Amino acid sequence: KTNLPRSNIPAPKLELPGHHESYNPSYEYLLDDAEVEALKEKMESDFDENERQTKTLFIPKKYSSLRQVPAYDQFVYERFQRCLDLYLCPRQKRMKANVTDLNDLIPDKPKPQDLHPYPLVQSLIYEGHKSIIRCLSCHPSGQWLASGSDDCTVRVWEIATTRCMNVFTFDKPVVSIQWNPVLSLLAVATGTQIVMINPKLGENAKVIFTDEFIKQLTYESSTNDDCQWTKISEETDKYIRLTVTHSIPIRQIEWQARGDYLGCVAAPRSDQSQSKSICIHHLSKGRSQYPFKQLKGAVQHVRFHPTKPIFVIATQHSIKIYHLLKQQLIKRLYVNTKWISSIDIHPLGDNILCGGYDSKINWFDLDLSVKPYETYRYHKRAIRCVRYHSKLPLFASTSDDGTCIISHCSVYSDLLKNPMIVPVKILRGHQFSNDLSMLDCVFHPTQPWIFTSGADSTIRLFTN
Amino acid sequence: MSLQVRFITRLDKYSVPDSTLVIPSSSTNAQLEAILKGLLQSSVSSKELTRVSFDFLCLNQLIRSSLEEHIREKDESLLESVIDIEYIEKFQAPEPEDALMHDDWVSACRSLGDTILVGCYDTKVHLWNNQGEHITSLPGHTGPIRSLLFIHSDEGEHEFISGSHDQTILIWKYDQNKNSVQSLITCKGHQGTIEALALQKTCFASGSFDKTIKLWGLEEQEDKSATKECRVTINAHNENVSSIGWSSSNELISCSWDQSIKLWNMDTLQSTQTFKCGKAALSLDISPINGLLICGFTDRFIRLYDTRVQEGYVLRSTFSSHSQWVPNVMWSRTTEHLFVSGSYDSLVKLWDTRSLKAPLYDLQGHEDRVLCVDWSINSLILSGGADNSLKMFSFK
Repeated sequence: KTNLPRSNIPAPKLELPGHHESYNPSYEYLLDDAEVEALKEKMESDFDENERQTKTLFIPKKYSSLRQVPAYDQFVYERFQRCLDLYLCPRQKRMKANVTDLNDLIPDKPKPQDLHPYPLVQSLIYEGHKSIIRCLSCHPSGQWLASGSDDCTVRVWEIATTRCMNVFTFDKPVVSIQWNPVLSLLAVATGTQIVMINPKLGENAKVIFTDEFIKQLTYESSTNDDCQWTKISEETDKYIRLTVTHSIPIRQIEWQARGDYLGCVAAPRSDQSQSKSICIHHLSKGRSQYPFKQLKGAVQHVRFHPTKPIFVIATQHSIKIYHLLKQQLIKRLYVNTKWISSIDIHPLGDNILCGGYDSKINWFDLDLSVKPYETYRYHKRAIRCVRYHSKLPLFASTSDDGTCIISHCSVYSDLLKNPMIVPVKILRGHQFSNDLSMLDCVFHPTQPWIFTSGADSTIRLFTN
Repeated sequence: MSLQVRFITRLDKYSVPDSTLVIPSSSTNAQLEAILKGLLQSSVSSKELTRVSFDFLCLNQLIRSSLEEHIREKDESLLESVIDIEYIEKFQAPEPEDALMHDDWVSACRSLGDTILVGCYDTKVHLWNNQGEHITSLPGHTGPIRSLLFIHSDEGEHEFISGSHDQTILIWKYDQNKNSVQSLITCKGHQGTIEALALQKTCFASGSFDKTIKLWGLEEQEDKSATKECRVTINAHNENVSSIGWSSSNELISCSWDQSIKLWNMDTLQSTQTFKCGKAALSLDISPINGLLICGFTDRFIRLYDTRVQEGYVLRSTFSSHSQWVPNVMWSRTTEHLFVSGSYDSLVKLWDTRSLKAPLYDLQGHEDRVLCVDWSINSLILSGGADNSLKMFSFK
């Protein structure tokens, strides 16, 4: 039995005759005068004049035998009404959506031409690495770019001229780097170590202050049994200032916005305990804490909130938001993807982007609900990195299909208006190597430019 | 179709009688030149005629397509009336000369008299003479040199200024004959790398990545290796100040990565005008002859501005030919319409402002990005690049 709408609506069914239409009904079906009056009044009050014309008032009568039953006086009238029902009543056909112009179906979003500025063309290529570049970080001033690669080096580049200012070599591949937002310090995660380097670039005053600051820090080695903090003096090494040694290989590091706390994700093997997977290091005290001992699931990515003391942890299947001072779980977000690869928090702090290996991007509006506000399936293959721009309303996502898709996202401070997200540009450029092409992306802090790192050992800058 | 034309010129040597000619509308430069040379046969010797070559201007733009197409673009109604075509001597192509090799990227260059100053990423300032001989290398900075200015040089005594990544500016006095540095004054104060320098008679200004412009004096100092403080600091922009230039003795123009060009009155230290340009600006130069401003941008265009216009558009024209960022532009110091631009696509292009679609000449030779160009001396164009070479192009 299908639920398709029928093109003709059948006439209403006639009621089958019941007990009170019998020629010899039981006494209870007979109406006395008062009831007849009541019925007549009901007819007057409930139906208007036109409707009353179609209805007949039937009053049950009792006859002792069949030969006394007269002809039904309303017979012709009732037949007439039935005929009218059958052929005269309007049969309304179900209106189908008549789409003459398919363009009307496209949602009413602004055109990409109106949403400038955003990165458009590839401008510069930074060449020098010898292997896949896994991670990028842009200095807050916008003049230098640091990149870490599988060839165990970190290179610091001058953005305007693509000059490689400095190369730092380590023992193991570099998996994650980030510039400290406040000090002139670059944190590098290689193997089981986090190395903090002062590359001596940028404001002279800040460089000197950073060196002095670290020199006067004193670390008590007894507080940390698992992590070793060692300071390195100027005489031993010109650039490396600090190393923090773990026992498990590290996967990702992230500075907090004030530059004092460093969140660190380690990747323990499945037979090791998961309790040591997230560590928060306090730079000025030299302490390392493991606040999340009972975390279930392999941690993929962590982020600090830009303004509040909130920590967002993405495991394989869910995103959990913790308040660090109150030490409790605030929210748990239900994600649409099977395996989360990376997350990012909007600079204003109320929206979270989440990209997965099954090529879906989820946008969570924390004020709206714990389910994704929207899901985007623009990419064809796994998504490696999602990133917001810190000043402009843009976000980018890079994927294994060799594209980086830039989308415009206007987030309104009006609580009733939902964010408007419009994809504006697909950026291509990296060559494929071992099935990977674009790995990490980072926006310039102020300009509408984006740096992408690739498996072809180049970093490319796309400008507007 | 045929058009009525009249040839006019400012060249006294090659003048023709003022008569109207009828020529086919599909005439190009070659045909116009043939007609002109035919007219000049009577007054000019044939040897000179074969040597000289002409370029034609119609409606103040160089003719690069057929005459009809050129006029249709501007004003179709002129096809009916008599058209004035001005002819000028064609600007000769510059000839490439030697390339001077260095150890590292050449990021700044200047020429004065017969000396060439080169600033390099190996933190040294090199001096060469224009025969291609290396005079000396002067160490002094601790970071790559980004900007140079020549104050004066005569008979072996050179005075120049260099700005570098190490956030200091050095004022040098070097005597070539005695091979010694007479004085070296350090100007400290900037918090970021020095990106641009611009010279006046008694002072100079510097623009830096710390978003400020500082003004420094050029008085004689008693102590030959002193440290100088700046006279004035202007918090100019929100981003890197990529280039500055003086348009008059008390007006400074600066362009920046914050996508704006600002004019500063140095008496009040306030910005008198701001132009938004939508793309990060990388370089600017002001013509010493007519005060027009050209800027090179990250979107590969060079834009010409007239900052003195009170109403209407300040942006006069856009020159597009480069395929990469244009971090260097420089006007010719003597000719009104000519300028040179160097770009990351390893080409140096010589432009005439009257020809919008294409440059006059492409100076090829660099194998990597061009990081600096200079046209201080009329007969020499210098360009330095990331292939460690400084290339010289000369005119007769």
